[in-house]
Amino acid sequence: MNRQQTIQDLAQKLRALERTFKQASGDQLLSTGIEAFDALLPAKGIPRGTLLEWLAAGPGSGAGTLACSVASRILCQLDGACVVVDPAQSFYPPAAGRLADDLERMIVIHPSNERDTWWALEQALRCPAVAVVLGWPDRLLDHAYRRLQLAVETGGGIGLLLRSEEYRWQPSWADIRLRIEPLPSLSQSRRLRVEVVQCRGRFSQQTVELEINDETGDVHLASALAPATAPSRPTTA
Amino acid sequence: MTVLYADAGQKGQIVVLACQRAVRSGIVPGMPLAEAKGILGRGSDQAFVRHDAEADRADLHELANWCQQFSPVVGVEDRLPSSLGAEGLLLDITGCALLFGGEDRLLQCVLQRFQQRGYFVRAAIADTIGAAWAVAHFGKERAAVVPPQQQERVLRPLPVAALRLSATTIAALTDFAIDTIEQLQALPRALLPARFGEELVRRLDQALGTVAEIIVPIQPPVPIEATWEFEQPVSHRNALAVVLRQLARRIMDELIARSKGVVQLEVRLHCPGKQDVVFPVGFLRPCQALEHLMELVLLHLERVEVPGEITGAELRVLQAAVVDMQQSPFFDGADKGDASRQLAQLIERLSSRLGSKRVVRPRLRADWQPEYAVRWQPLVGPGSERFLEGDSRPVTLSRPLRLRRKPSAIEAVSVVPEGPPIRFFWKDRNYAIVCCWGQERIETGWWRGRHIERDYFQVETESGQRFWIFRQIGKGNWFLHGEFE
Repeated sequence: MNRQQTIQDLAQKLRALERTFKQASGDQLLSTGIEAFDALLPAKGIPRGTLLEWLAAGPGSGAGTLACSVASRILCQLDGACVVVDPAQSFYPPAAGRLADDLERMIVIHPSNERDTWWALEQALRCPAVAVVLGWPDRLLDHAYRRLQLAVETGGGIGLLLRSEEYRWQPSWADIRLRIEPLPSLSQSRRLRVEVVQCRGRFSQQTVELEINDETGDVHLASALAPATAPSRPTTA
Repeated sequence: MTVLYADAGQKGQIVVLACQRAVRSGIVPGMPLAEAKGILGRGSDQAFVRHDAEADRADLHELANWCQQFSPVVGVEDRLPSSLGAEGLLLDITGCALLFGGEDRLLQCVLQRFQQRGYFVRAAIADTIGAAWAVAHFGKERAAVVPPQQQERVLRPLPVAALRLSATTIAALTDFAIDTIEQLQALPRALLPARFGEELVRRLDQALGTVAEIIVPIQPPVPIEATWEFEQPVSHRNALAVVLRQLARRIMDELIARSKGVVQLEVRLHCPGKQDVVFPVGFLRPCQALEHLMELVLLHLERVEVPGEITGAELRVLQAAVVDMQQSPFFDGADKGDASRQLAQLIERLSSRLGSKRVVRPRLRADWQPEYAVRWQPLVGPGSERFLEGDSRPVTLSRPLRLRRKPSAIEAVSVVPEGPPIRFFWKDRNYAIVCCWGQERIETGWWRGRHIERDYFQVETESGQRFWIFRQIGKGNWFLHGEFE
């Protein structure tokens, strides 16, 4: 087999793999509200019935804030409730930005153990009246994860699972896996790098740097300018 | 502040009732609603609610049923011509006071129980219904006992409105400058019916006890319940599930016959020699679906611990309500469009398995102390009807998305005393701080429980992670309270 033939074969295999990602358009495709973020995703948005896994690089990374921003944008496009599954009971709605604008659509679940967390996530994802499910599952067994993926396909909503980066090398049934890494910003607006770790049917290692304004809740592409030099000692503002 | 309003024909919408805070701000019943809104401005803690007399009446009947713990004869006051609706309950306590240790104790017990349910009530005990009503409405005390045969003396200084008269009669008496009952009694009795109508004399005689008046007792609702006694004690859950299904079917048949659905159900399992296992099953909307009810009962059963063999089972409907929609699907999945029903069923399932306190909706409060800025409202069962006044505007300062229920102790280093930290140690890791915002001081009073004196800092580490940490003022201890995840 010559070199040209090999390249063609590989390209064909790649296209075949890419076609396995959910194809969606119109009202089946939801925007994250962040143009640069949409551009990262293979469908240029999130198709309904998709499970996204957010791998946070350590505590205080900004992954939750970004997920809340995406969830609030999904709620603008879909009728239905927002279910938050929070086993640690530390989700703080006043900090959820625009997600907290309409608390009548929000249901918060505080499961007491791992099994209840899986069960609550599956029930919420399976319900067609739920638009988005935001959850902090710690450990997910393979079969439990698979059930979540089937549930979200049945329900037609969006599942956003926030987990630690330590689960990166474990098998996942999420359609899209994102790694969120915080970057020093030295200003009130936070900077973070979003990397597509895995996307079903697509080899993707693309990254984008975003900036979050905590006061307004706006998320946009970070400017390409070099960050300010770190001061030699802490400053107060 | 809460203001109730209603349509008043040509007058437009008028205020019919207002809470004490609103009254102190200058809101008066009868005032146009637009004027009331103008007085109260655009505050976030105001609620203008349309008055629903029928709902009031229904609630009053429910309270009347509940009051049968004090007396077997409980009636709901007739609607008075001068008022918007019935607002009182009448109890015949003849012979009941002894059970409570006297009339004073009975009265205190009534007040206390109402207070526990969240009601502020005024109450009076007297020989006649009229005297008790007058003292309860116009007496100086919140609760009073009129000694036997003393009603005339007690009634004399009270205004004529205390006789439960129509607005027309009260206006006519006011025209003649007759303000108190004492002034009314000084008039020749023979002239009263001709000038002010028969109603005046009848009410006066009823209050003084010269004409009998009876309390029409409400009909207590027939309880909906089903029981099963096992011939042999059982311990197998499958056998129990079969029996519970039969009981649930009986209850559903009864509910359907009454055109109602279950809202609160109590399941009781009898265990000989042990305490009965009792658990409530709550519904968001009245339910008539047997399968859904059984699903919730079995979810509850999964998490309760049965101490031994069961000799009997009992299902009792604690609360039932008229079903909004009774049409049932002909095919499975034919009504998938009913999103609110699906959501209600999801909430009921979650509450049944996890417990109602674990399925909640956040309610925000304008409170500086972060722990008190959110209250969690259960969606089903006890507590689901609290916090009806809605959310108040929360503090808009930057707060972390993950707030620890209990702040974690950390070690931190700062260059200057009382100054910002430059690094901290948490979970065997050293975090170097490159940027710091604050300090935000939060102090609370002793009357709120534990005294809080904290200096908060939002810090960014060299890797870009953000945390919310505070120092206890005076003690100098550092704590991590949240992560800006």
